[in-house]
Amino acid sequence: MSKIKLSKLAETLQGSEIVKLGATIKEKMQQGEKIYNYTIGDFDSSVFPIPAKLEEEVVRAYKEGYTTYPAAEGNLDLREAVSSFIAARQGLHYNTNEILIAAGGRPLIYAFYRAIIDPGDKVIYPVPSWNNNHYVHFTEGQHVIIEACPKNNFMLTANQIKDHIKGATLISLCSPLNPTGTTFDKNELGAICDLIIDENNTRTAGEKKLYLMYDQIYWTLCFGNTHHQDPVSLRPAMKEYTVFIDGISKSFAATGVPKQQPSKVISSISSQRSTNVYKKYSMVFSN
Amino acid sequence: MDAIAPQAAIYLTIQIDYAGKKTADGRTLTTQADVTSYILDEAKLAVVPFYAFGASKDSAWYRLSVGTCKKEEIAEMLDMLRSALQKLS
Repeated sequence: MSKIKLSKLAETLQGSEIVKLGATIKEKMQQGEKIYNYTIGDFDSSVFPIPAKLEEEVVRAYKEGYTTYPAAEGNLDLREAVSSFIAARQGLHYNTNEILIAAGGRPLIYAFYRAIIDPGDKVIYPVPSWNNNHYVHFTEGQHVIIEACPKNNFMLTANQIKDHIKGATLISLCSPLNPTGTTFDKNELGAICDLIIDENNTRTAGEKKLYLMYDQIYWTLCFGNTHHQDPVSLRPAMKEYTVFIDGISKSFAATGVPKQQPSKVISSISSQRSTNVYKKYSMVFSN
Repeated sequence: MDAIAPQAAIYLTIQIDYAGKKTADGRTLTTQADVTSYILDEAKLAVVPFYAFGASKDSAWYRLSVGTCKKEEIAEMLDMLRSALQKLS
């Protein structure tokens, strides 16, 4: 039988190394071997159950009939809650129309890439990092891959970025970082923001800007003396160029909690720009 | 082995820099992928190599997720790892 013909995109997808490793581990476990399996970026719910209050609210929401499509951009009460949470905890001020909700971060990340990347556009991202290679592939952007170093806790530095920034469309950063569990410090992130602001100041009104996608989905899980840093708090001028990716699935160990309730797995995307372009996409993904 | 002091999230970054070492049965761990398999086979420890996150194939660094880690298993896991590494020369 001949192989089924798929799209060029599907046929050129890169295989996931984690999936391959996962298959080997599964095979060993099925053969009765005990494996200390620390490969999964998720929670064992018997060790880390969701908070009782969240469970209670999820059950209550179901009982009260929140079982149909939520609003495409996220229910208003939820977006209000996100807005007041980030105001109280991060000191950032975003209106409800600058916040989008979806079931998980990935649809929002993909939508954001789609909204700004044209084929051939430069996307700067570090390795190791999570899935940026795939999003760039999906959107036919140009990969600008920078290898982060152990001496910098695997976080990119402004120095590593500066030679690549001319003409770039997107820098994709994550802090706290998956896979490393490390974070940006104030000085380095500030210096990266300055590069972005300076580059944008050289662009004319009609040109596409250089954006920063800042994935902070783990930020509430900082411990010890670590304080989460974000671009907009450090450099208010960055608000115009920054899109945050955030959510509650990590902080509440609720990665698989169904998406229908107001207290569902939340991801928010916040942007200074008109949200119309994102709304179009959120309808595709959040229902 | 080395590690980077964790600051946040559910991950610990560890280094298992044993490429080039020989196993007890005389096999050389030529590539980092060989080290990953050896750790899985001998220490029963499964961690994700940074090359799965786009780093170079010879990167000796790994992600260890604590989200599925049971506290009471940590000591026995470390014993297994220690003894697997001690068998290398």
